[in-house]
Amino acid sequence: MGTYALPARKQPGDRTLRCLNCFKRLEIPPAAKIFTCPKCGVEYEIGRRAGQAKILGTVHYFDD
Amino acid sequence: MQKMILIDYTRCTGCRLCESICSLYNEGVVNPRRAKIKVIRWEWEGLQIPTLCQQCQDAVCIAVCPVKALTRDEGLGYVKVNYERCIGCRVCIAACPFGGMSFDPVMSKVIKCELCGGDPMCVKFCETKALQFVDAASADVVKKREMGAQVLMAIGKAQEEQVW
Amino acid sequence: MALSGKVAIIDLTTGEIAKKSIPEKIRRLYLGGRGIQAYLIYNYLKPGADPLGPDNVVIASAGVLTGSLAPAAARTEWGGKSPDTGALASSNMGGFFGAELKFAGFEHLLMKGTSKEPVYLWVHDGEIEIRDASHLWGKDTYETQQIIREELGDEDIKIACIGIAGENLCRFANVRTGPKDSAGRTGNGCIMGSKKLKAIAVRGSQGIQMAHPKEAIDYCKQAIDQIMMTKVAKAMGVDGTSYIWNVTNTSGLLEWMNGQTNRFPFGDWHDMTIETFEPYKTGIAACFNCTVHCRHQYRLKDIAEIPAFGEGPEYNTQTAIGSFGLNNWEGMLYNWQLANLYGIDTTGWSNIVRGVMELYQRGIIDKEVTGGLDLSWSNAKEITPVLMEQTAKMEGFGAILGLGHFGLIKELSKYSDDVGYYIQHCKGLGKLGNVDRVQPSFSLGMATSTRGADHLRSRPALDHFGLPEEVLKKLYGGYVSNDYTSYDGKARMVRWHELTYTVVDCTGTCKFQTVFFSPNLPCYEEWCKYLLYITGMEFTPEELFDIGERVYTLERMINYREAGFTRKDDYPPERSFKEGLPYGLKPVRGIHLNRKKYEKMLNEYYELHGWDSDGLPTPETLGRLELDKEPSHII
Repeated sequence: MGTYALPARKQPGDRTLRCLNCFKRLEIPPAAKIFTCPKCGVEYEIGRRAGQAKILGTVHYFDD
Repeated sequence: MQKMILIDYTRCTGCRLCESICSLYNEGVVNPRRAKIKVIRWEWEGLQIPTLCQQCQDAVCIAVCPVKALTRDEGLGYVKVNYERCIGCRVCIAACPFGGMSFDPVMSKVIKCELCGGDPMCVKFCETKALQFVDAASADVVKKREMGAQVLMAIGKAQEEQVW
Repeated sequence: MALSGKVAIIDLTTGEIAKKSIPEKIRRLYLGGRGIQAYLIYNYLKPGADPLGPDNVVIASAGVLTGSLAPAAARTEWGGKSPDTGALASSNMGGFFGAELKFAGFEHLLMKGTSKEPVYLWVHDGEIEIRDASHLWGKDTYETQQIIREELGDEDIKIACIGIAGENLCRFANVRTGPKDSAGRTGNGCIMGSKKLKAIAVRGSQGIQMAHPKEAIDYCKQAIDQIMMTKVAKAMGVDGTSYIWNVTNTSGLLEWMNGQTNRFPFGDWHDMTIETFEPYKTGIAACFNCTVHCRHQYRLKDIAEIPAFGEGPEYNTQTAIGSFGLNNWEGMLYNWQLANLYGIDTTGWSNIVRGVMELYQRGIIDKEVTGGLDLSWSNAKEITPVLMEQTAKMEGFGAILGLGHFGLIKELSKYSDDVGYYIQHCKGLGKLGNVDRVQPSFSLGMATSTRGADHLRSRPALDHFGLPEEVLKKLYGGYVSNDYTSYDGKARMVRWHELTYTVVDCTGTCKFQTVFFSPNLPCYEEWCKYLLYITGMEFTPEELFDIGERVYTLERMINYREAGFTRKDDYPPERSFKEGLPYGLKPVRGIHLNRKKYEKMLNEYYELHGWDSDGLPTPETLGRLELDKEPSHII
């Protein structure tokens, strides 16, 4: 059985998020309010809390 | 240059890690009853404030001590207890307006914050920076900077919403 | 010393109180907290006992590290035989009660028997008194704590108590401390109510020694720094657990209308996010020794009839109470506040309410059954506080809701054979408002959890992160797919997390500061160091893993002994197999569990545990884990 204590490493950055549809890593520009995943095209609403970008929701909420 | 422990109660989350580390570092045991810092809570109003000795320049405790067991160390800027002289009368506890002096129930002696020899542990462990160890002469700058940031953010928000 | 906390056996029928030390042998086998509690339940609970009778026990167990300098060493485990499920009662509570219990010199309080009159316990520095609580009976959980503090003259007394729900024997009544901390699930508050035990008040001035103080201070500081560097700790510190809601809602991983849909049906989803909570927020607070501070403080507006101040919200309650038609924070917070005052488990109650609302929607029950109440989804705002009060008082339709899932299904099945399909549960415990059916690991964990449908037993959040498979292989000791929709290796993943979280519950630290949320958070290596520096005990990661295995298997044995739970009870609700969800992003839309793949995964899971095909531990497993000696009556 392995254990996995990572030494505390630098986080990839507060602008990196993961697409919830295709799991691609996304780099969100600093002021962006909307961001489209370059791989699968899902459009996200972007919010910010304590300097970290977060996905608030999708622009089209299951409206297809 | 004297430093002081600056308390910002708006940042205190009431976690009491300061009490645990104070008692552990100074008395060798985790026991909030033996800590020199105490977080006072109004639990049903959601308010909490850390309280400890303010290391007064013109300390009441020094003035009332009948055996001169309390003196002020001007180097680090704190009031210290000389246990060789202290008779445990506890008039200092009654006299202090801040409740800065307390009585250790286990060792039966008065205890107060003595800045952990210059590197206060409560400050080190306070994650939200409700406690900061800052130069006393520029402690106001810390607060001014924080307030300045809030004002700038409010102005920025108003401009964004085109209120102003 | 951190290990010198005693076990108190309190007989409420006779008033006798015995205090026992914990022998080292038991420490090495069961560690503390939930581990020793499982041992105490197996040894002290009379087999087949009536959960509401004197032969049941209710136990409050602080962890072995609770009250020490370990990060977030705040937690207390509660347990016994559940009046809700008829099997293991098990629930974990934060706040400050556990630490104070340790400062008073106790690690476990075991209550058995039944008192004739309402009483409360006053535990202080090695002494326990049984005191009259007739003046507290009927009071809510805020008032109870306030009155006891005033009576005993100390604002720093920590109190665990029940509200009127526990008094009235609502089967999922909880135990409460502070403004919101709860031992929520499986009805520990109901057990206390059946024993007429209103509250336990604790105050201690005995400290907890660290075995190696200097190393403990340095290492705990290092651990705290490691924890605070992670993204999840920062997110939790600002948004609390509600930060998860945006992620799950966006993906389509939240259920509404009892799991019929995963698209918010009652208005604008923006009104349910933590951003729109801001007008109610007054601050952020934390549990004992926790630097993550993941709880908000809020104040309701224009409220006179109940206290306006509360703590929260939590993601779980947001999805629970928010799942049946309340479309804003005002409604959710008001009902959350009621639940906290009455002492009702919001998760269990909500699961039952949305179940009966679907029955009402489908015409299986009508106003005659509900006593005139209109349970349409559009009527949620009006009906929720009414149902909450009825459940707490066990009157009207609430008296049926308060019977728990097994009781309610039995009661309502006369109206249709389909009732059991719509009232979803595992082993009698309701599920969260989360979509599990698209994720095999989450489904398996929920179905096999030793207390019923639950995420805290084993939820492998790491399954969502798409970590490289070499990393997963090293961690889990075998192949695990990094695709969360896959079944491959997930049995291994779920078992690893089950045992790991069991170890966390034995230590009494908070799961949020462990591998529960992130691979960068403390795990076995760190816990071995906490234990060494704080208690002096040396453990290897493998030994801790074995303790997790032993405790988990013992819990399984308790479930078999008391409720006959076997393989047939290790399945998610039928809906998970039959229906895909209508909305959601690609990994979610239209997907449900595959029965054949689930069976295969379940077989692998049993094999890894050393259990037979019916889910019961084999004689070899019992021998290897020294469980063949139980009940051993060492304590």
